[in-house]
Amino acid sequence: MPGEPKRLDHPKIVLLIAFVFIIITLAVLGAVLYHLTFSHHGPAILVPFQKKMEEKKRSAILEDVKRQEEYEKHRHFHNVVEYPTLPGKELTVCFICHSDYPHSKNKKVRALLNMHTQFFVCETCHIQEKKGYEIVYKWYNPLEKEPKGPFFGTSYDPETGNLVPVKDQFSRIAPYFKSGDTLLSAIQHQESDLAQDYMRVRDQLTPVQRENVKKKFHVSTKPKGHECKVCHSKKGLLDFRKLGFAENRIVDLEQLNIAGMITKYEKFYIPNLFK
Amino acid sequence: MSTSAENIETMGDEETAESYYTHVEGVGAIPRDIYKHVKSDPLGDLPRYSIHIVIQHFLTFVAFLILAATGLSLHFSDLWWARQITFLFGGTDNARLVHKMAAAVMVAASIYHLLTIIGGTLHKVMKKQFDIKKTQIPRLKDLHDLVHDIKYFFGREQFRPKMEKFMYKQKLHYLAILWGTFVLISAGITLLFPEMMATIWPNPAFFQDLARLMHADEAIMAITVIVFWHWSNVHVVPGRFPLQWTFLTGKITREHQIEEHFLEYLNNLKEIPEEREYMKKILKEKGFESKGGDL
Amino acid sequence: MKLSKIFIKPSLYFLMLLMVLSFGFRAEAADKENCLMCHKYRQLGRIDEQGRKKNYNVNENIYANTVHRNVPCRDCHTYITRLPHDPVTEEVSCANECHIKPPFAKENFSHRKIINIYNKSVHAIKENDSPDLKLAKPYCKYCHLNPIYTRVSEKRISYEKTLARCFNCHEKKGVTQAYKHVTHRLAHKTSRSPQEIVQLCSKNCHEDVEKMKKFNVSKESVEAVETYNESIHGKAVALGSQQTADCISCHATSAIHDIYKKDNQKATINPANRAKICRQCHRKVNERFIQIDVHSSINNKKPILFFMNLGLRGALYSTIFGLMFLALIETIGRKRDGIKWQIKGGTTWRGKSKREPKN
Repeated sequence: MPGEPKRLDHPKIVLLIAFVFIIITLAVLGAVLYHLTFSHHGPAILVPFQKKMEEKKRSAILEDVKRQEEYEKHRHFHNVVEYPTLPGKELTVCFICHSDYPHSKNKKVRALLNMHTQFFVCETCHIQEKKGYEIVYKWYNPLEKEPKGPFFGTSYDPETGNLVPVKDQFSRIAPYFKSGDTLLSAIQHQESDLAQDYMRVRDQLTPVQRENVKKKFHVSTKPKGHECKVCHSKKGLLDFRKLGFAENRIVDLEQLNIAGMITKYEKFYIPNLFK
Repeated sequence: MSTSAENIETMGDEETAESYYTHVEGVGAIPRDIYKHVKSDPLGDLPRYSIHIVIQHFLTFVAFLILAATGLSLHFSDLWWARQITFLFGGTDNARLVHKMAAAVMVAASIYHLLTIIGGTLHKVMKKQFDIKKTQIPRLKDLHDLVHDIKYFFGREQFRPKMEKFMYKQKLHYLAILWGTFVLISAGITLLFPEMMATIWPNPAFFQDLARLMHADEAIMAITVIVFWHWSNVHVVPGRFPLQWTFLTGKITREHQIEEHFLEYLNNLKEIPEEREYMKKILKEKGFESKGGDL
Repeated sequence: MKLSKIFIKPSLYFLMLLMVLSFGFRAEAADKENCLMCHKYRQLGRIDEQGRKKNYNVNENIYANTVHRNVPCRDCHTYITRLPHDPVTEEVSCANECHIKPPFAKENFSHRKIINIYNKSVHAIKENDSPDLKLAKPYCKYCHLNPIYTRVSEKRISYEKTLARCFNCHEKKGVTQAYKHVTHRLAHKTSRSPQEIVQLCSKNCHEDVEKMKKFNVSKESVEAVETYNESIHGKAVALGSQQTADCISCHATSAIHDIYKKDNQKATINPANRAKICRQCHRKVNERFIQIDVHSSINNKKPILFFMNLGLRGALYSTIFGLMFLALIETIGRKRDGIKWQIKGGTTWRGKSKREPKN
């Protein structure tokens, strides 16, 4: 009531209330600034500058690729699922030059060969044996030290007969050189010194020099990968059982249920790839 | 005592709006800048708003925030924050329902306010206490006050103008709210019941477009004015920071009332004996007691 | 920013995949010829001679939950005559008859009927269309992905519970498929969400103003996406509403494909038919209500509104800046007179006035 004041200072809670109001005020202030500068609802004062900056960064190739991918989504009737991709540096060195559809020469089988990149790294097929080393094959995941699975394609769903969907999207079969008890990875990453060096000087090389370097890169690789039968047969190169495949799946992989197909393509290889 | 009272009365005739001292019967001569010397309770000392007004403010305040949050996110639906805010209200369809419910609260509070104001005015008219100076109705004096105040802000005037219960800022704001609420409610009804309102408006296509335009535009105007001006007046400017408690207590601090509503303070002095005692004490303490009389 | 691009987007897609997989029933598709032996692998693809990325993957778990799950591959892909097959050059025709005989029908199933409706619509490819226009018009696959079954609202009773009762009498596999077949179509006018419909019609097509101008469509049509997005329908849909009108809601009947220009007598948006289409949501529709502009924009063809809009903008900016200026000079003026920010010890006037006293 009027007269002598009872308290001379604000109760402490004032800070809390004021804080809330100041936060809302700042949020509205931010929104107003955005409205004035960039939003297409407002006068968009800074948009011309922004467009100028974007104009510099525009790439006709990038735009065309995006347009084509968009078109492909409409062309492909069967619900394309976009799977997660590995960060670039985790890919093997091959992907600096080759795409994830690396086979293109043999028209009959290129898609089939590309299909296998879901299951193993390039080296699994294209590795040059080293004398004095035995090659063993293991599941390898660049994001996990010891991938435990379950891995895609190793088992069927008993109810539907479809392959069991898995969480692990990155594990692939990869070769290791075995010397005594130690396993030495046979795959080379984009972070390896040689690859880094190549990336750095790539633009300074003439086309001929670049060819030379590429040859060197491929010294330890075999241009012609294994034939189907090397793996898809009993006692093949890969020990499916040890790699964790289920029994009924192993039978299918060893026999490849359409028998004619594998005999027809017995001779397939990639004759002109490294010419 | 009787001589001094006589003295004041005779002095009163010579007083102008610009006088430094204002003589109040039974108190003494009050200097214009006494607000620099009084003590105030931050929660408020002197009555300003009745409990009805406090409730109305609280209702509109809550409804307004909800309306603003749901309405803005609907209006700027393609901006990223719109989705976040809508999510807080349980999705778009819920947010739209909440918007309508808050609007109903706003309408109810507006009607409640009109009833109190009309009722209060009628009551005063009947008791012959109605005084246009104490209302929100704008007068020429408000314009003079504004000019005077701006002069004061620039240092061209020594003191702020002597203002009534509602100064020029509050009248401007109040009238804007009257107009804004009318526009928002009528446009809102047109948007909410397009089928019914189409039969009422002379040109349905035009009035629907008009309602779309006016509802959004008035709302944005209201939000920006509230946040940037009203809130800076009650939260930010010196003396009000960090919060003015009037909206909850209905009371105003003494120093604030003397500074910005001097004439209302004089009314309070007349009506509240405790305040007269307090002012007398302050005048004595600060040595202003004799000054007015000596002039 | 980069991190989010690398991880968040892919993981979202992955989540979507998991959702799709866990959403539907686990089911097997009709694949007697075992095409999926190869086509179920996601890396089955190549870069084609034009340098385009082509993927031939058909996700078996998703396919088994689509409306076509019982159609053998070669009923549509008729040009495949031997296995392994040569590179494909032909396109699928949706007007093909497939070897599915629907219940209560004598003939094999075909999409011919709906294609006939489409062929009369504004989107049909006509002989005298320019090559560009022919290319731009949507063909079946442009709009339709293999539709995945969606579930009907489970607010009253769960999907599984309803089905469990059917199993009392019916064979599990058959009745599950029949149930999904029917309930998939109960959710909306379209089985796709309003957001998906708006996206489908806008993206790369109706929102592309340059493209639309090239095809000589009306001014309203050129602006249609923009004006829709500005309307209450568009705004609510943009925010995720499921109860609001999308493009198909107003522009087609339940035949979905019968979209015509406004002046066509058959058009749902023709003034003669408009009340009927509005009534789907606006129950109290009347003669005056249908005059309201749905795709409305305020431009110089509506001079009163146009100048009002400008005036209001001006009023807004001048009010805000004027009032902020007033608050600023008020603060500066009072600060110079010795006021502090916060009331402490009962007073805010603890400073010394820097004003020169006027005598």
